[in-house]
Amino acid sequence: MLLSTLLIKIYYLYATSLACFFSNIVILNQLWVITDIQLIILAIAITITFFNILKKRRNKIRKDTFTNYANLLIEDAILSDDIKGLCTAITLKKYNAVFNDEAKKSLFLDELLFAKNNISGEASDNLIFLYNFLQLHQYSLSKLGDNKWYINAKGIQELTIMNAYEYTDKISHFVNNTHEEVRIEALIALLHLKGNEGLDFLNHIKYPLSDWQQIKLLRELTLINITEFDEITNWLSSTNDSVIIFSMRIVRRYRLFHMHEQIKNCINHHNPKVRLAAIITLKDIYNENTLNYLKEIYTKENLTNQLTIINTIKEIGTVADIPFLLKNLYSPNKILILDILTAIAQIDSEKFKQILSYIDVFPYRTMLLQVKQEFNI
Amino acid sequence: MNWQLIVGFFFSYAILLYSLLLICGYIFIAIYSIGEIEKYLHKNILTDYRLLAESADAPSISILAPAYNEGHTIVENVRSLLSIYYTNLEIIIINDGSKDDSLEKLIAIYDLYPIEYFYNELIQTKEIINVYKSHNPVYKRLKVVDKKNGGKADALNMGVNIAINDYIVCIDVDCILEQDAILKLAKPFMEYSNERVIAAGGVVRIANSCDVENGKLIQIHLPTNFLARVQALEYTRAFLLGRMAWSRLNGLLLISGAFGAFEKEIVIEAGGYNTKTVGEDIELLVRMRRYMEEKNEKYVVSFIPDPLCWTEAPSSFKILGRQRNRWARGTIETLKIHKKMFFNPRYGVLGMLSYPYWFFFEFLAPIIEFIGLLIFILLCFFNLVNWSFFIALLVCVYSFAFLYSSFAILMEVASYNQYNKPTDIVKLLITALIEPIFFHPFVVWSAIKGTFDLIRKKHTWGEMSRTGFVKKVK
Repeated sequence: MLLSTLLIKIYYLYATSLACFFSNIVILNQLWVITDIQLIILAIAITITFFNILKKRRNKIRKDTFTNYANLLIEDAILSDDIKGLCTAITLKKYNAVFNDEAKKSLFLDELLFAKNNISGEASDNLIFLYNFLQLHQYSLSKLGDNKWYINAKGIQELTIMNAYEYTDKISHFVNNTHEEVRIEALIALLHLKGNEGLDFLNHIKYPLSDWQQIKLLRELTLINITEFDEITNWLSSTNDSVIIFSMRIVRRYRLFHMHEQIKNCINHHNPKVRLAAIITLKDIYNENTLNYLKEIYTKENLTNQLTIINTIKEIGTVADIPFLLKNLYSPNKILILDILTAIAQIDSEKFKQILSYIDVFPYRTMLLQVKQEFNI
Repeated sequence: MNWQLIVGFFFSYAILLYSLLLICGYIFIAIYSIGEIEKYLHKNILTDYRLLAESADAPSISILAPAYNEGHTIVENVRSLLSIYYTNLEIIIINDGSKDDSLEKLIAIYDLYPIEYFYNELIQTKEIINVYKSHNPVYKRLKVVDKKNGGKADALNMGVNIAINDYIVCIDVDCILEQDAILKLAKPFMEYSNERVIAAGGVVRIANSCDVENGKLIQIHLPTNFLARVQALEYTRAFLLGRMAWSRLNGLLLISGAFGAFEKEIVIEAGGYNTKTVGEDIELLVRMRRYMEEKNEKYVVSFIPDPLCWTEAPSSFKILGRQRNRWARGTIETLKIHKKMFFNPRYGVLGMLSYPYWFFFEFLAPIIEFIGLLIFILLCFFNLVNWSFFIALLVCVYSFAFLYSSFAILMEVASYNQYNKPTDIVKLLITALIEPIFFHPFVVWSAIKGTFDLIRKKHTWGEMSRTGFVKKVK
């Protein structure tokens, strides 16, 4: 009885409210208009979907066919002893037929860039000659004037790969671009095209360099074979912490042992990430005093940095460091204890055996057995 | 005008406002996601992932794969994980007290032996039985942890305790990852300099009917099973539109439990996975975000539209019902645990937008829809339906639903084009037409059952039996 009363109440409420709201015929008409609009958009969406599928299929067929042609030309260029002669042999008519088509031009350029990225020496120079002969540098250059960031970035990337030194100034305008992808491509381009001078940006860069950007820049450094870093001392005292960290990556990559003192100064930096990078770097360029400096800062450091210091001792430590390890063995952090035990086992297996013989308490016993198994002691 | 009429008037306008807001939300999500997908695709053209594969500075990652009674697929699945292309990687399989022969199979095939292993119990879990490593150096990245059964969240917490790397990638062990999945998922953690990236997710796709060989996806096909096909459409909509839009807003609340990466330190500081909820994936991310907001630290939850992970979708109503029931309970539990954030400006986008959106349009939507249906039946019973309005409304809402799905299909074709045959698209469009009639009511019903189960304090995961990727390339 109660339930039926409740149900009737609900239906009455709903019915009256609906009647009140939907009694207006205008709203009914509007609903149909909205539906019509939706159906029109739907028809457009479905048409575009099928158009897209067909376009992608056509492009794929076209790409497969054209890539064969492009690769033949590129192979000829790579193997050619007389690239000028080869280019002259490409008739104007043939050239126009292929390169007046924007899509084909783009496809050819992609293939050319791919080939250029994978070869070096004279063959690489031939590809650059072909690129310039076919006026593709103008095509890349035109991308710098586009108002879309990704087209700018692509244009810069193309000019960089093709060693377009004459456009260095134009590219340099992009180093402060609002879009980070364009900025990093411009920085890589300057590094590639100007060599050492291309690193000048590190003296005045305002924005931070992300880890990803640093990895890209480091790879470029390796490719262009720079080995002199005259201004690295300035970079290590930069107000931009990411510049300091990047500089330390350079120190590690090139094993700049003479930078030990400057890196040592960074272990007192206010930013723990900089200190961490300094500890890691010191491990790679260590001298007889390195571990003393690290042991001095150990107690003041956060856990991550303490673990890194212990790991450094494990890698480069000697029996002289065992007392320090033993002193810190009774840490409240168990991961730290495990790492200290690992370091002891690595440096002095006899000492480790001694510890193994008298510690029989969980979890230390498990840690000891784990390390024992790991080092086969 | 009597009081019933006034209440009715406000009630109907409240429902109208709710529906309009919901539709506006969908339109906003659809449009807003375009920019994010476009940006990602353009960035991808400029990206050379080999850089990350070669670099010693790439983030170190531990893959955590909990397994419970996965005996018939586990060997293949582990093989698939071992073939992943990434340098700084360890793979941890957590056998969560399986009753089948999962562990025995792993021991036999991968030549495992028990090792002495200390782990720091930073998050409390059920007891560990053994940790195994392989005698074979080829499998040196592999660790198998055998523990007492405690559920998926507990197994993942064990994985977090065991993991030695800085980032964890949590996956369902039966998922198939693309070979470059970890490379792509690792990149967002290196891209930001001012914000801390606490989590990253990628698109999960449906693997039913796809050709799989040796744990690798060989050929993509649209699922032949209707239920799986609807879910393929549903996932496309949710991942390609919804999550990309929320990611752009930095308001993403969910990274799929099937595949997501997290910063281990924040996971531990936030307390790890909650073992008392069945929605441990959404709850963890919400808690991590809440923790960062309360710490006043800048952070990002990143999402990439690349299809990186392929999973088997339920192909029967029984299993699907259990899954959706659990999702509904997980959502409600999470919202309840973090109710403090509801329209709380202290939590920024999280409190003012993400949480309310989930509350009104994820939690309340099925309830409102269900009540609406009941009232409609009553109105029919008392012959009080204004049929011309009903038909106009129905066609309008139905065409919107179809349009939204069609837009998702368009975005998929324009971006990744995984289902690239015109016949596949026709099938997907037909599925989009049928979905609101056959699939959606079932999902609503499962969510309602989930809500009732939660009220009755039913806290079961619900068995998710898999048929396994048995289809081989001919």
